[in-house]
Amino acid sequence: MKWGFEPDRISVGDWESRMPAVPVEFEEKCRFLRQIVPGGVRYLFSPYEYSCRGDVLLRRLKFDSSLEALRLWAFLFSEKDRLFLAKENGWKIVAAMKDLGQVPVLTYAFPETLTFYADELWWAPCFSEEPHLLDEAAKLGAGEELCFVRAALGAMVTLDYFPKPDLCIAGVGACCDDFSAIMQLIEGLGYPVHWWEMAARFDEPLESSTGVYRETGQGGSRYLSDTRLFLEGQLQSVVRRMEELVGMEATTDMLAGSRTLFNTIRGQVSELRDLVYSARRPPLPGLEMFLSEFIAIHTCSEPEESVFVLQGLLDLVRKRIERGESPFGCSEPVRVFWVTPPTDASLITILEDLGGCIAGTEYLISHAFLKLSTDVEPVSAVAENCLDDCMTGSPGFRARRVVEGARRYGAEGVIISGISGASHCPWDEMSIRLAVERELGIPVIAFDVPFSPGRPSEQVVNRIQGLVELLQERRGTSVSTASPGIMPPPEISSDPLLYFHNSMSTEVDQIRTQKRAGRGVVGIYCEFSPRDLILAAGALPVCLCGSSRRTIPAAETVLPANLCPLIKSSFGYIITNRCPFFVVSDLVVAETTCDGKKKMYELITDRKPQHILELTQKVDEEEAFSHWMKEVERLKIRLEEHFDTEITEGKLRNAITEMNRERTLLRNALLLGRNRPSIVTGLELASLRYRISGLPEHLRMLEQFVLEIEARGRRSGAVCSPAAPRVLLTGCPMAHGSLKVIEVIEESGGIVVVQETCSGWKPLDTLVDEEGDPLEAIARKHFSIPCSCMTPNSGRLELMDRLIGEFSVDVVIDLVWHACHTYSVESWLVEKHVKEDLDLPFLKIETDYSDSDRERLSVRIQTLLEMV
Amino acid sequence: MLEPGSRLQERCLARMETEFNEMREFRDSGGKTLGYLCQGFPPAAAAGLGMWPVRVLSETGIELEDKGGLLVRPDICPLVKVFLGGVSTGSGIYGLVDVWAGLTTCDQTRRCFSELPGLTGAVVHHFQLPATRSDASEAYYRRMVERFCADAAEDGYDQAKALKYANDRFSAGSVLVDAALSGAVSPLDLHWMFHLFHIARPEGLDGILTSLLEDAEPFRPEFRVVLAGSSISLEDVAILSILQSRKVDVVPLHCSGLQSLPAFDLNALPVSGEPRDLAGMAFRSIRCARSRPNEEMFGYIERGIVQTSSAGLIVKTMKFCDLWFTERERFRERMTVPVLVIDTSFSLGETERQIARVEAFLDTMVHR
Repeated sequence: MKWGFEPDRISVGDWESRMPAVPVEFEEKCRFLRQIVPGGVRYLFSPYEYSCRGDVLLRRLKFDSSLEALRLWAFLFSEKDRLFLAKENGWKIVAAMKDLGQVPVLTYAFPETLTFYADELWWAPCFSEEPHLLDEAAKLGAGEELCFVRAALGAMVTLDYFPKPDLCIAGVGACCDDFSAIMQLIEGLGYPVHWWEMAARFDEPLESSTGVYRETGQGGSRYLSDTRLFLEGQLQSVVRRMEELVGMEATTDMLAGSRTLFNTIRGQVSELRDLVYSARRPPLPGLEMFLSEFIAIHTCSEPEESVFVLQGLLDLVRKRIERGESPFGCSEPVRVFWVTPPTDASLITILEDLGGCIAGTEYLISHAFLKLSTDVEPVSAVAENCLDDCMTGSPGFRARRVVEGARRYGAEGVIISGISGASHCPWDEMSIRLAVERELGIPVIAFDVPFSPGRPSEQVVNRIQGLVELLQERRGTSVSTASPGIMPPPEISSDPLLYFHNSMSTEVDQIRTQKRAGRGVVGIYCEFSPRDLILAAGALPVCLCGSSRRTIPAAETVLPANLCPLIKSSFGYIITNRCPFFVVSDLVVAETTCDGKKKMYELITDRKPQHILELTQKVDEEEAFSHWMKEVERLKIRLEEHFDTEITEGKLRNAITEMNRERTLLRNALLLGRNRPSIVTGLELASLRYRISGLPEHLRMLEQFVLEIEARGRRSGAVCSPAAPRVLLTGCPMAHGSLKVIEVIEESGGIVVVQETCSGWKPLDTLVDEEGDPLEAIARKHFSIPCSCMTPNSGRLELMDRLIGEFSVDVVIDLVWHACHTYSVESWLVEKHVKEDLDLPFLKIETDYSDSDRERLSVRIQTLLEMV
Repeated sequence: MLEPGSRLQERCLARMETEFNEMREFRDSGGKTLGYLCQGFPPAAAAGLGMWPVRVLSETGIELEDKGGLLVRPDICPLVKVFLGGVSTGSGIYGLVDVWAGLTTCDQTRRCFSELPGLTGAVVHHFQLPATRSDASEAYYRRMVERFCADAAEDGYDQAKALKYANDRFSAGSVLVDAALSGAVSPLDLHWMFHLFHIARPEGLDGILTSLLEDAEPFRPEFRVVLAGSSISLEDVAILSILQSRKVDVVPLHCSGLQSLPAFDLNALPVSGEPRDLAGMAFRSIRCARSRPNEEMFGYIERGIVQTSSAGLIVKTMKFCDLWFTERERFRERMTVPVLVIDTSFSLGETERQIARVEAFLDTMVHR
């Protein structure tokens, strides 16, 4: 596979620009849960996309530039997609808690189960730079006195990151009080919890004269034989509990099979560590190693795919070593051994920017790189591995392991990044610092990493900088003048085209800010949902995601395949929990337009509070309007109750004024399409379809957009040939991710001057009347939208007539998403009207979100345009 | 040590000094004392080995805490820092302990005991007190206590002696149970009596405690509250003092109060001096927030509130004691009486805050 980029450390922006170059065959390899979805679900998306979906810390990191690293990141960030998809398909979801890499060996022996680590959620607030999980935990009593693992409790409340587990397996005893406290609160929420005791190893001092001591085969840790027997019993209890859950007895072969799989993973990670941490110029940056090491315990909830991901990295690393390549270029960075995983992953990027690299780690999971013994029963092997776990022993035991690791990889300094609030960190820090200084004589710095969304703690960065400078001095090389390399938060682009292209990430940031400030969020899917009313309730209306093909395979595990892609995509976003707006919505307005959507809403009632807004469809009858009016009134009452507010007439009028201004600005922008020859492309106009209404920045940018396009028109004239056929696109709505028909039209030489769709002019055709009863005015405006679900829908033809005249249209293309019956059937009327009454060329396109018919569409559209 | 504030307390102090003197003589004659912190340890097992078991819960104050703070980072449990300071300097009762029963309970004590020999040269016998409440966990704990008895048995293990110790302790404990539930003994007097119980040998202690009660000043409370939570050291009396001054009776269900007495909850007389049986009894008597699940702890406190007609619940925890403190919302949710959960330290600056919070709590109770 050709991938023409040198090893480097690159940003999310760099990745985004390189994504089109990713070979298709590589993308095809990256698929998860093949057992559920035939062929598996594609997961190779860019870090930028995941940053838009909420993990905004990614924008501050630097990534290895290889395809294998891209796959690793995508695999990690698609974990929740797997969990939700598996749950939706009836698989058992198990939350392992507190043990580090032992319970999954037992649970994955059972078919149709996925196991995830709730503990891993401790990174979530830092990656999302957003404290809502911590806030949720605090409401239940888990405040700042606990470490960030309290985010797991918050996640159990919100279920943002994983579906409701069928079983939680909680290790307690000789481990961590913080998480023990959290797990108890989780049980208090009503989750089924199986408790098992993690036995203390009592590694020092060994004073028992009557006890029988043994050593673990892999890690050489001493333990009392009683302890192992006890642990075996505890782990047997886990197996029994799983048998009850799954309804199947675990055979030795099943357990041994799982052990083999995990040994493969452990072996891969162990080799990767040795290769990377031993190299003078590491062939892989610290962040990718950080992720890989943790795969040894959590497998990103899919051990089988983990093997492929890790094998890719191993092959890459071997190749780079053979060729003398490194993402660090020619320099030999100073070598730092890192103790305890940093809460803020950007600290690793900062260390590397400053001229350091990671040469060995003790992230509290070093026992998970040891293979499980194959000489004993699988459960005994897992018990033995528990006895190699640093957490269950003394601080001195861990200190020895740090010293051994730092010596082995030739570390020149040690960083101990403590976890704020963690009860074991103060003890470990003291022991490790003393042991390293005494036995290795190299510098050690220790700090607790605070939660500092948006930027790393300056104090911590200064400490790291100081250490790197000291190590450079000790090595005798010139002290680097590198800056900490802190990437500033992305600025809002002043170029309106760029702004609207990237508006999703701005909106994610905005909605979080507003939500944090206490503002409600109402999710909507359709133009019939009155945004004015939602704004009057003080909430933000946000159009939920539904325009990506990527969530369709997940949806098709529940929904029939012969359903419209918009509904499938929307549903897929929900069940894989990938719509960042749905996650924060307080209420979803579910309007009854088409049958598919109406029934889809029934499948998501348990996920968010929902208000059904029944749309009557006899648009010409006053009785139908009366019913609709009542529905709008009911929505008003629901919003008032839900947000504990009164929607006064004054609030309604203000909201109408605000929305009318927004509609007018959007209209002004779309009216740019009237210019002949055209000064704006259909794709540019389509990019204006943002999701959140009522954001002042959007309005400012809309004004700017009009000014820029007009200036461009004056400056350089048309964006296409004066002879380019002018297309009116009618039919189903489109959005980012489903714009292929516009792309094909414009690639074929046409220009889409106006869309008679809900993503174009249709909802903007009339404003809300600012006189008279404001609620009725809102109801009337929305009732007048000429959607194909209305009958008769003569308004659509009338609107088309006007637009065809106003925008000097040469040809009409009717876009119908597969299985959208109302638009598909109505297309016959539209075709007849266009051809017979208006004497214009007409083409009906029936397609979905996939790219597979792009060529076929291209031929058909080119043929049509040539006729004009 | 805390200055006594009543005739009963003066007599308690005098009795404690007598015990300490006898402890010194016991050591001079070759005997060994065994110190322990957690009620989960069965002291009768140490008595069976000929040791003098003593529960060390005193001399807490900023002085020893500062000494302990020289050995560890400051952000750990104040009780553990005091303990480290006490052991490292050999101050007071800490200097009278020959060996320590190091029960791994919370993170702090587990790590403290594992580091203690290296930091101070102290001799520690390690035990894991399981957090889980299963039969297997109880059996594991029994085996650990048996192993300790085998390891430490210089002159064999005397079952009869252990059983007598347990029974004497039961009798002395019964006096305390009656006193605590009577509502007629002031919170501070009761507090002193419990501390005498923790360090004194139990033989004849029931008579001493009974005689002390004869000196108790009349206490006529206006209402009662249950005081739960982690251990309360002898000197840690800010909350008790304010409750007493407001004429509030205290039902001490915390770790160094009635929870130290298996008899109260289980009503079980020890019948065997075997280490495994003593360990099992101690294990079953635990009503700690650390237990998993900790439903028994909630049930114990709920029953205590109902049985004593208490009007409120105060849960006092030490700073950094996550296991009690994180239960605060569930306490508020579950209990049918007003609840105050307060985290405390030994700093003098803290006292005012504790007093202010308890007073505010009492005011709200009065005005309910």
